[in-house]
Amino acid sequence: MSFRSIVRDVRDGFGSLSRRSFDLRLSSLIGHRRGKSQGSVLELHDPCPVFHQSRWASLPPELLRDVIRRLEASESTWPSRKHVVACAAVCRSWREMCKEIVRCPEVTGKLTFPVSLKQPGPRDGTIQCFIKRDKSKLTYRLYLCLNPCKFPSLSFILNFSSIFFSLNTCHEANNTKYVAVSVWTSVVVYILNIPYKN
Amino acid sequence: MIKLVSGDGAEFEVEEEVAFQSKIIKDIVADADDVIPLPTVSSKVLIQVIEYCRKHAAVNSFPLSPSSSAAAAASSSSSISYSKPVSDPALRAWDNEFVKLNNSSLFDIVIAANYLDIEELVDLVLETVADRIKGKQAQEIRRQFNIENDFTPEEEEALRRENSWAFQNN
Repeated sequence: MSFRSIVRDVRDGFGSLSRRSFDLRLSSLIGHRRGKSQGSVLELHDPCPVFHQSRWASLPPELLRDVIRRLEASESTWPSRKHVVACAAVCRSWREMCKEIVRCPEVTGKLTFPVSLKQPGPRDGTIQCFIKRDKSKLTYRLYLCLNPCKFPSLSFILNFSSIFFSLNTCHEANNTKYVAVSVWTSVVVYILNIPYKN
Repeated sequence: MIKLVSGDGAEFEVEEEVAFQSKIIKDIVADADDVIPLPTVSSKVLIQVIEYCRKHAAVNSFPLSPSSSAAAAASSSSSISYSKPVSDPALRAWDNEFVKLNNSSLFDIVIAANYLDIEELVDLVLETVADRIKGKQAQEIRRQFNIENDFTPEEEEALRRENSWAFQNN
């Protein structure tokens, strides 16, 4: 074995060693949580599973939660809600955190994920959603009924209007129609026309 | 003076009021000697953290009058605020310059600040990170923060379909 190859072996070994110690260092840090003020700096915590991803993907959960909460709180209506939607599509750990933080529309009165529009609720829920097919026009009609009596404020309605407004601007080119058709005395009905082929 | 020793063995002597920006160090000094090893913090990061603490210790040692801090509190009450706003405009400007770093350096700093329990610095960095995320799509966020996409192609397609309408005019 040449001297050069010995040096290379040693160097490679050293490289992997220092990488390992870095992982260990990172995972021991993950043990620290925000707000914790007691305990020794030298204290080593149980290592969390070492992530093979970049360091930002393995940001300690408390810190990631803080970032997403800030985004969540920064805007309550669309189109700015899409900051959170984008975060939820970054990677699994970020998605889990977004799902933990973003409450369902019935709790918060905020629509965040587009899929919320399609989730059927219980019959006595504040949001009722049903789909009808309009064969003559080859469209689905998504009816969303909101019972304003059960909502503490009008913010939900406004938020819902804003999501429809952004839908409308998005789809203008496609001629997809999103219409708020009628306001009854106790129920607001929005109709969303979705072409079959889409 | 308190002596801080970084993970790579560099020693830094700092004044108490600078070191006490970290609650952890404050707790340790109360019942230990004044040489504090910080094995998980590199000297490069510790230099930056000390720079921040030095600046904030200098400003915080001259507390604001009650009237001006009340005004600052009133101006920030409009939205939910996670960070205590830094009320001194000059200090805020300094903070804004301080965080003009790449995302990798910000990561090291926030980990160290969280470890040392320097709440204002953690807030500052996380607010910066949130601002850097705003207005970006998932792919851009991944690239900027070097995050690997660990969804299966099927899952990603489902996500894309689910969210497509929301991002069409970007």
